[in-house]
Amino acid sequence: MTLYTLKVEDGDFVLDPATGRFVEITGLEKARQDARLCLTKDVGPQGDGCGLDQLVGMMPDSAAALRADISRRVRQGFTKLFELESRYQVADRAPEERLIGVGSVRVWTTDRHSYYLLRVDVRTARGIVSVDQTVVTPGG
Amino acid sequence: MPVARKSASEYATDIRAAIANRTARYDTGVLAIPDVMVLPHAAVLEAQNEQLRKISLVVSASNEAEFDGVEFSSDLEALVGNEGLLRSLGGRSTVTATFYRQTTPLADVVVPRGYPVGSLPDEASGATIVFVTIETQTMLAASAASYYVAARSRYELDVAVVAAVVGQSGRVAVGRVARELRPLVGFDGVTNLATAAGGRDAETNRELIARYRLAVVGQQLSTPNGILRNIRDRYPDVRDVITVYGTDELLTRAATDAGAVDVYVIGDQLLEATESLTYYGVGQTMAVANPPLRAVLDVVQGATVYVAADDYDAVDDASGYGGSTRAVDGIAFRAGGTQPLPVVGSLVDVTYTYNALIRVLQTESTGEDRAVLERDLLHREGVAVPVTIAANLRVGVGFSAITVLAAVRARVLDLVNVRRGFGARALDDTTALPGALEISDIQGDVRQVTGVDNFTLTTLRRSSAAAGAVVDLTITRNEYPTLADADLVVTLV
Repeated sequence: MTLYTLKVEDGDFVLDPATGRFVEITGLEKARQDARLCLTKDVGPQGDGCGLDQLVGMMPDSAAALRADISRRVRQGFTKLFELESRYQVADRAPEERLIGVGSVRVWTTDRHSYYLLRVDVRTARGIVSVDQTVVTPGG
Repeated sequence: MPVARKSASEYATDIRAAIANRTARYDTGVLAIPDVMVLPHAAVLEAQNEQLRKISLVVSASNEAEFDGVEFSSDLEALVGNEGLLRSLGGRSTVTATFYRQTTPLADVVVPRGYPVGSLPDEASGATIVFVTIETQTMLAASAASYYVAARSRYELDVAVVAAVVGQSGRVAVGRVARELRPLVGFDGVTNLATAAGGRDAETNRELIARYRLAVVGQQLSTPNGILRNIRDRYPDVRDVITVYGTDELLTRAATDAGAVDVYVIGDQLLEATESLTYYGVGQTMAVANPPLRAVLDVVQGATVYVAADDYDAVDDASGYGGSTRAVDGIAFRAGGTQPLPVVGSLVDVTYTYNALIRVLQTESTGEDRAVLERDLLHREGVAVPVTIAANLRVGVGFSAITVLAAVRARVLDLVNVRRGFGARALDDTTALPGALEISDIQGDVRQVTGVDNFTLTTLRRSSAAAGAVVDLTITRNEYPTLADADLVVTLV
């Protein structure tokens, strides 16, 4: 059994032009979307979400400090997501759509530190999904 | 009904369950669907619930602590407005300002009404309070010596001032009112020799709620409807109540008791008591200590057992206080009874039942927290009127005569003994007029019993009255009908 969710693109639900109904996604595609949403959204009432938007415009003490902060926020947000997935509809969640752990969190920046790129590998029971994100800062 | 607090999390659970009712396969636990369809709605509903709770609390005026803020002040004011209450906006403090000068005045010096003086800035907050004179005072040059105060070596003129702001902040200390806020010719300065007094903050929501309750409770106790409401609220044993006051002809003690108000009650809590009463002679009432007396059970002296209606009679008060705690109820011995009379001055043991409900009502209504000044409230038992009813009953073909007869009897007994109150009014129909036990009422009730083919009343009278034509039975307002099983005779025809 699998669970499905509604497909989100460019911050909005996707409608099927043929039927006018929401497009639903399952399996690995759902897992990837869940990981991407967790990475991009603010920290919600349930505690999920990495809240990286809060770093936009921030003047860091150092690039290393900001990288560490990004990494901490990512792991914290995903840990909460795993907890929620283990609380709700556990029996119905298929292995490939169950996010179970954060692999590597890689953060790069340019010489001027004006923005940071990051890639997060999230483990599922059936493989790894990777998601990318960009954080813009005033930089040097 | 109070509105319980419900959190966003609890609402989220409900919304999840509602979505799952459509299909359990929607992922309502994480991200897309919860973020847009579950959690925002839950948050809005929680806020809405909080508003409803507040309104519920306003309506019930309970949990005063919830109203400490100003958020619901206007709602609360609207509620208490129903009782004609307005929030007190507070009061201003007053003090006497002393205007002084060192030299002898050579001309009259005036402090006009409305002249402002200020307090020195508060050391902690820096705030100053403005006071305004509320009278015009003149220091007369002709009698300058009378203004001289030797202790302070100066001429002084006292003028009453009042704070420009309401509240306790106007209670300034001695010597604080020391700033002239307008030029004032003729005086060297101003001060206050006493602490400013009075000054009260605007009524808080808590205080307003307390006063609202007082208004409601006060109304309960001092009006006819308030008496009824109080008894109805607190005494479930009471079946019916009427209040008799003013020029009502039923107020038998109006001529002797100022402020008399009688409350007639149907209902009882019978308790038994045994007392040793002194015998004074034949026909002398031996009053019991716990009126109103309901029944005398036993009268004995040693081994001698006296018999009612032979050796003694039960005596009900006929002085106008009957059925109340002021009644003089008891027994009186007859001459010529079977048993020899007791020795005058000896003690006779009397066991009796009395209506404790009337005693409780009377005691509680005259307690300090419920007494109404200038009112003499007396609770009394309603006057029971035993009635006799006889009728012929024909049962429809195919029905069990025994079953229908039993149902008709039960129905009539219930109608008279349970569903009728003072003046035989219908307790379950507020539109019915009191004053009579009507043939049509009994007929209408019996006709609702399935299987009744014909029902004809042959007797409807007070048990104490002689037999006569069947007519509606008049019952006055402080009476109520009672029907004993033996006084209901239904004959199958």
